[in-house]
Amino acid sequence: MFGITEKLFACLVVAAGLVGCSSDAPVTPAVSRADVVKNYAANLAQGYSDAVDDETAFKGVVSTFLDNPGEDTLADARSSWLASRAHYMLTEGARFYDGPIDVDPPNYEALVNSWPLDEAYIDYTTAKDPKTGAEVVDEDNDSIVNNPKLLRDITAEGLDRLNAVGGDTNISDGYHAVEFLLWGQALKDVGPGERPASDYDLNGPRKNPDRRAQYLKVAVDGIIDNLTAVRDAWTPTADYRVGFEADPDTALTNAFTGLAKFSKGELGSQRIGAAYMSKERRDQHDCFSSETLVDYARDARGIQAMYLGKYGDNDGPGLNDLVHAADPAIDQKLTGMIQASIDAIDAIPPPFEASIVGDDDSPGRVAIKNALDALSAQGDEFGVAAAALGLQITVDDPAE
Amino acid sequence: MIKHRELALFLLAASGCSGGGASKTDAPASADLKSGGDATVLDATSNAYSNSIDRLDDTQAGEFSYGHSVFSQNWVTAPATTSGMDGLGPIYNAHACSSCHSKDGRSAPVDDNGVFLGMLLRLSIPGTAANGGPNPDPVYGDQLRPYGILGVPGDGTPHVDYQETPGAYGDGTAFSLNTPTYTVEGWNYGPPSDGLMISPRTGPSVIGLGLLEAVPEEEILSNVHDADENGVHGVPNHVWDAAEQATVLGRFGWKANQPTTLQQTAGAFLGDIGITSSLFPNGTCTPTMIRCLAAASGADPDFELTDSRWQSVGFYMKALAVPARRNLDDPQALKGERLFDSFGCASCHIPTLHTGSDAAAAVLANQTFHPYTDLLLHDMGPDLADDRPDFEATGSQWRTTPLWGIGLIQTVNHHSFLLHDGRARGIAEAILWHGGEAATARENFRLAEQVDRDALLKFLNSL
Repeated sequence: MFGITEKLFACLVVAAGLVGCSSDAPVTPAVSRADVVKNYAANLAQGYSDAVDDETAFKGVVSTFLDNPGEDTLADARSSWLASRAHYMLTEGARFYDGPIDVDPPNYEALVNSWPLDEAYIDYTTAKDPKTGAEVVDEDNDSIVNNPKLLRDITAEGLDRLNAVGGDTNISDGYHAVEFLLWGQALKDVGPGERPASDYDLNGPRKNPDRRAQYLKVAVDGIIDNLTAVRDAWTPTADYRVGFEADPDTALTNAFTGLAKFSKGELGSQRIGAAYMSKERRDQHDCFSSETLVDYARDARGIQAMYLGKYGDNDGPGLNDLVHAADPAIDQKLTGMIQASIDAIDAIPPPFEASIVGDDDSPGRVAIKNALDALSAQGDEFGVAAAALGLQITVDDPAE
Repeated sequence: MIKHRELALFLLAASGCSGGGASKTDAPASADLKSGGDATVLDATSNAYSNSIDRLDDTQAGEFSYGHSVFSQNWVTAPATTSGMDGLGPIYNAHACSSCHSKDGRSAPVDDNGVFLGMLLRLSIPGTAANGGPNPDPVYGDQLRPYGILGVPGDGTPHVDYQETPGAYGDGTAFSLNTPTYTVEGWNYGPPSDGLMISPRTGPSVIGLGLLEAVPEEEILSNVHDADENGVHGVPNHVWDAAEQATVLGRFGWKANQPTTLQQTAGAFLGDIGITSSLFPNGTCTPTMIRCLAAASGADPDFELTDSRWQSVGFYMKALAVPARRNLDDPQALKGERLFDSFGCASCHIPTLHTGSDAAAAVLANQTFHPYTDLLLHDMGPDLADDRPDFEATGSQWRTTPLWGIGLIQTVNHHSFLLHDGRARGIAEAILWHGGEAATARENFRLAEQVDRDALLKFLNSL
């Protein structure tokens, strides 16, 4: 939508403005608030659209696996799962302002990315026998896959109906349900789950391979449906998008709120800080695949791109341009902090579950604490930046 | 005429205020924006109940955010890879603390279809438990848990019927109160014992608990007094402290039946979510619940809620700030505050309490703050009675509910259901339900002119 030429022009104007003004006098923004909001919305719409495409491509790989379950096709499905989250993670900075992704109801975010997952609700589990220490597989458990009496036909509607318990639901769908169905429980101290492909083989040793396959299909379809609804709310002619662009100050308040809360409250406190406090190896989002750090790094880069107005090949007017015009020092500080949090996450030795345990001065925990502190400081600085634009946001209240 | 009566009441209140009310050295509450003293936050948005108090050190800030995570995350069926958060049920009311205390506030009691949301039914049978508390039903224990993990039946389905009862204000304006009747459909483990008593309870907001916990016992007991001219006299509850293994002053819960935030928390984890803790290590399945007993446990090795999670979620609630008052310069609200006193509301909902030096965090200590409660029990009359004793509380006694934050429930939780079971649809109905010791105050409200009633509501909504 915004070509490179326009952006380059805008940069030149900003640069010229800087040269011509002393730093304590606000300069006239070279880009308008409306332009920044339009670019933000266009990038986000593209992000959700790409996420739908990712999931649709992933669905094809899953079909291939289910048609011919083997270790090689399972490996393809697993790497495709990881790839399928690449674009969704870049959108997560657009939460916490009751936008299409998490306005409740329907709270699509909870449907696609909830955690912790209720594994035993879905499929068989393995537990250590308290007396012998031996691992015992319980595949006669009252799970949806293994007890057809609970739900004869596994369909999206059936799962919803079974799960409609007051205002409260078991977490049994979304990306992490699919992750669990591909990797299985992670039973070792370090590393991913080791679910064999034969779990899906009609002649394999595990019961109910057909129901497991059906659950996997329904879960993938559910993600596609829910992401599609979010994508559609952000298409240029959709009511939400039109309303968003029509009120740039509110839109900017929302954008800064999302970035601040996602940085500090969610990615910082909830996803990294809680695990830092509990020191539990599997207190991590991608606990089955052991790919948590990949997603954290994507999340942090998504925050950066959203601030800079970038997405893919597009480099349009960003929030940074407005902040720079209002107070170049704040923009410079915030830009540096965002890069620092990315670097801090990249510096955590993988996998996450190996780094989270140990003494507080162990290299892993030091690195995790650095990332946590960087994200927290960055969240607060988003509040400072918003204030520089005359916008009031709340950073500190915990993300829900 | 009304003005005359008002003046008389004012004089009565002024001369009879020896027990209740703010002490004479305090600035009037009307002059104070800071409902929670230094533990006040200026936030009137939908996140008003979710702010931390100021001046937490790094360790406390970490504990607060960890506690928030524990408060809001769903528990899952055991066994699970996320071993720290497994062990839901096997029978339960909710998956998470935040299910009933949504956004640290209060969830609506039931949804549009009558499905229970933020409300549960306490159960007991005649007699007293060994610790002096309610005598649990031998099969269903002390509360109805409607849900079970897959394969385990819940206790049964709670049901409420409402019946409208018309009434009128003194000026003839009609109102209607919604009288609930509670039943349980489909007891899954056989009929309950004879004489089963049911008490409905909603989850209240969890702001300011660190202040209430830090009020010295002597100050609470100093508000205990003989009946005044309106028959108002608060009495304390004395309840079992499981950690101290002793009977102590109760201060939390609808009947002041819990001594500490930590015990209330561990009790709710066990009763509501089915999560055992070091304080309450035994699960809630009773001998005839075969499938419940056979279900996997999340205990590792002895109980499910680690002490660090328990302590953190306890600290989180103690460190939730109280939203500041609004409309301090609004004449109508300030008039309402004077009426709150002259009607007699402030006899029990006393505006001001103080904390001592022993508190969970720096800004909670040595505070003068305005919860509008005496933390004592009062007889509220037969219409509100649950007819179920709870330690020393009779079936018609309830603890004075703190009123701070009451004007933000609509903003935070998108409803206005009040009282212990959410039967009142807004503040006016809640007042009209008051009986017993509060009958005089209620009548003063009911018989007041609309302009005065509106002023009182304006004041309450400013809290």
